[in-house]
Amino acid sequence: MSKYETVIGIEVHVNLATKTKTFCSCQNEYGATPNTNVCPVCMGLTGSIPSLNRKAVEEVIKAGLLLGCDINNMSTFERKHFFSPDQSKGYQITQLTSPLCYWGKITLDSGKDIRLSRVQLEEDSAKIIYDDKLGKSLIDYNRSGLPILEIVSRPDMSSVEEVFEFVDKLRDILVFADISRCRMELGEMRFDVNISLRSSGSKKDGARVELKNITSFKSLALAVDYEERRQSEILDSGKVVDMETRLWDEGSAKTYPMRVKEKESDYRHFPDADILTLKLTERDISILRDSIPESWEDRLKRYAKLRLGTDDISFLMSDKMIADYFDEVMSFTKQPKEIIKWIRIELLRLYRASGKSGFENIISAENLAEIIDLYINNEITRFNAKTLLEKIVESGKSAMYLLKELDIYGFASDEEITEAIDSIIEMIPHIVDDYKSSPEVINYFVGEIMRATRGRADADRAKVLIEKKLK
Amino acid sequence: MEMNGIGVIELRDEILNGEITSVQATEYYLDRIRRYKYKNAVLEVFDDAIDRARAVDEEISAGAVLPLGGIPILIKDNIMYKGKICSNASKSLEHYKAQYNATVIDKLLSMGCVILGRTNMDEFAMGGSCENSAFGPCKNAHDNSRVSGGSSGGSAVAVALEMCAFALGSDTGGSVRQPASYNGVVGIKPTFGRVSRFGLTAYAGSLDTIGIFTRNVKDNAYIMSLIAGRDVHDPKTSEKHVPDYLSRITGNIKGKKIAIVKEVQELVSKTDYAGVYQEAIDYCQKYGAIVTKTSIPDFKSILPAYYTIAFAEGSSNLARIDGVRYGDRLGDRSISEVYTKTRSKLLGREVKRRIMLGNFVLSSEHYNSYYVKAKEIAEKVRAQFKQIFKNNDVIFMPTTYGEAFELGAKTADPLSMYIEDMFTVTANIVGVPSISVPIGKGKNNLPIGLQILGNHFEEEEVYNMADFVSQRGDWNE
Repeated sequence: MSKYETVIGIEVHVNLATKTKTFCSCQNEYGATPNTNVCPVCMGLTGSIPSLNRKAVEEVIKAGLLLGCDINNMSTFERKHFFSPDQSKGYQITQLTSPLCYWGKITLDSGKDIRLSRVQLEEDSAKIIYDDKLGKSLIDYNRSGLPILEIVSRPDMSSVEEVFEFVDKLRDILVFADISRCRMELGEMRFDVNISLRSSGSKKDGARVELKNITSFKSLALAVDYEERRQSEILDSGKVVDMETRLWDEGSAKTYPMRVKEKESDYRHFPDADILTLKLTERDISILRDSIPESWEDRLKRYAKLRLGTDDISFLMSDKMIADYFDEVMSFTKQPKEIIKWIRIELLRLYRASGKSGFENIISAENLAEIIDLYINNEITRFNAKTLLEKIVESGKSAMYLLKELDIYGFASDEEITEAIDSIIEMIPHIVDDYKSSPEVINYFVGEIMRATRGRADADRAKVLIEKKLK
Repeated sequence: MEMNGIGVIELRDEILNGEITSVQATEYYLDRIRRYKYKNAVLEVFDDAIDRARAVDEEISAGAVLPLGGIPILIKDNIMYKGKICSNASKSLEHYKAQYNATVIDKLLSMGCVILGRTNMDEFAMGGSCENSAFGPCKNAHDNSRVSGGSSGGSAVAVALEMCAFALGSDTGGSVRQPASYNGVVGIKPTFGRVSRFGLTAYAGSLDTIGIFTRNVKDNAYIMSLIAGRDVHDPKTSEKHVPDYLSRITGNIKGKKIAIVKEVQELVSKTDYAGVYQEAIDYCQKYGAIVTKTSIPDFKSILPAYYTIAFAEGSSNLARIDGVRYGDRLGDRSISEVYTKTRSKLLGREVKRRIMLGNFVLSSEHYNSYYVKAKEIAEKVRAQFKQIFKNNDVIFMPTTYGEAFELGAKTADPLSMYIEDMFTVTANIVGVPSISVPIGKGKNNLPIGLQILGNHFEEEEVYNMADFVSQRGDWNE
């Protein structure tokens, strides 16, 4: 047993997938030309007044409901003041006294509950970009005012593994409810971690250290690990850990104390007089509850009922796009195992090569279902089913059209295959000797038969007939 | 055509009837702006004013019937008019051009107004004398040695001296009514939420209103109907129907109930205009109004509560004046140098004082004993007003503590300056409409205003009463 227990709490910031920003009607769009999605409100111009985006509020409440939170029927927004060039107004609008949602939990596989203290809405800051060529810091206000969902946990976790599971589950819940895409690589999910050590068995928590600026799972693991070690070394040497805020630096893989000035700043929180107190009735909340798409958990249960293996289920649940596409194909043909096989083995490869986003954009669910049906019903060979899939992806034409155009419907008869074998031997006489000296030549032989029969030969049957012929 | 003393409605009719063109009216006012340049009421005359007047003239001769067709106006330097400098009388925004139109500006332009320029004010509307302008004080319309009042001093003086047909101001704690009183014009602060604040530089968002200066009450009522109403860009504007205020002025106050406030009367009795004030009350009573004595027990707490809230919000709202995105910038070595230099060198003394006091009352250590307490007082006062308006149509109060004071008399003593706002801040704390209308002169022969407060969204009561009071011909004798 180790000497110390680790106590970890986490704050997760997630960008909402709304169409517009939190307090103005500018687009919420990643990758737009800098400073094009801006207006007097998100630029913090004098005389501008924020107007709360109802949709953003609804998304946060949905998240709260999915996380088992209570919803505040009176919610307020506060200003948090600090000077930073990425703050367009000298303050950030956030929630302090009455967040939209409070309490709630995420249950880990072990059965342990990680309690949540609040789930709330706040606005994002602008993005500072240092331009080496110009030697200047540039600011892109497209991000200024984007809606952020903030989830704050209680210090209920005791290991990196638990933190990982917590974050993973949270991401699945949010992504599957269309609340956020949580694309880590675009910074759509960020973490601040509170971590302290206490002597094993002790009830008294050690000094809490807050780690800021963690933007990937990898950093999350490294930072927690680093901080556990740093703090235990301090404790081992008989010293006391300072209660402080530290910055995680990805480059050096270390944490550094923030400048004293920032640590001690008084944010002078007070209610934002420009924003009306948000009042929600039980009816508003129940309408929102009904509008929540199937939750991650419910979907998991539904897939389990399809008698799929855990491997197949985790494949589907790894990406909402895949799961949604799977459901769509299922609406055309009830062949869950076959659909997954086709997606995993064939479609994924073609999809990656296409560079497009979304399976639907390379082949419609209906077309894939047709291919699968044709194959399952023994109307086309597996070889031609693959060909059909490739041709659809390549040309965008429909399954039925290509089936005719390529003339690949049906199976070649034994006579047809035998005829093909004969003509191949006639054309390439040495193939007989080649086969006898190295039996793997049979694959080449089958390939030639496929060509001669437009893929309509059953490969196994062709092998049997070749062997019979050359015996 | 005689322009001398002409009102807005009259001028509109003359222009529509072709008696005078907007260009002629514009030239008349521009000439007066030049003549009174030494008053320092106008910070900038827009060079396209005549072009704009000509364009409106063409529209009118083509048959357009615009409710304010060709009317030349001035706007306070804290209201956004796209492409024009909006400096808030501050060095920090001396060269800053508005990037969009305030909602009221959009409305006024679409109704045919010609905006002549922008008027002087206390920097960021923080002050009550117009002495805090970074571009020099504005002098009283009637006495060069005295203040114009503030913060909308320039607009009040411009209307008093006919540099425009009417002017816009803003009122957070009396910034329209007090200079209206000091310069002998009519100035209204509407109900909070009646006129959109979008495009008005925020001082204290929960108290700010855009107000109107005119030379008579009917003009004021007419314009209010045109600029009031719901605006999607200001979520705090009301959906309530905007009445035609002008048509609600009946010339009759019989049976109207006027409340006077015990705590106010005690203060008034010590002033040298108590007689003038009493005359106004007697006059209304004589014509059938019923005067009742009421009480606002927390009256003395309103001023400190007001300043606590206003400073808190003001310090927050001005945090954006940092030299990063717009406005003038000083310092180039580091971001903290930019903040420090820009804010310490380009903001004026009074503004910095209020920012510091605002930061103090919002600091986590003092928040509960100042800001929270002030909000509690505001809540109590609101309840006390609600009680009064249950049985009364309007409340009478003086607008100011006396006539316009001498330039420099109070600059060294901010507290004595703040006390000047004692009667006006109440309407902002409660959110009700309030008008100042001239009722006579004090011992220095300078104008004195009567303040008439109404219930929420009852501007019509306020206008009707103010119009009646102003009809007594001998106020200025």
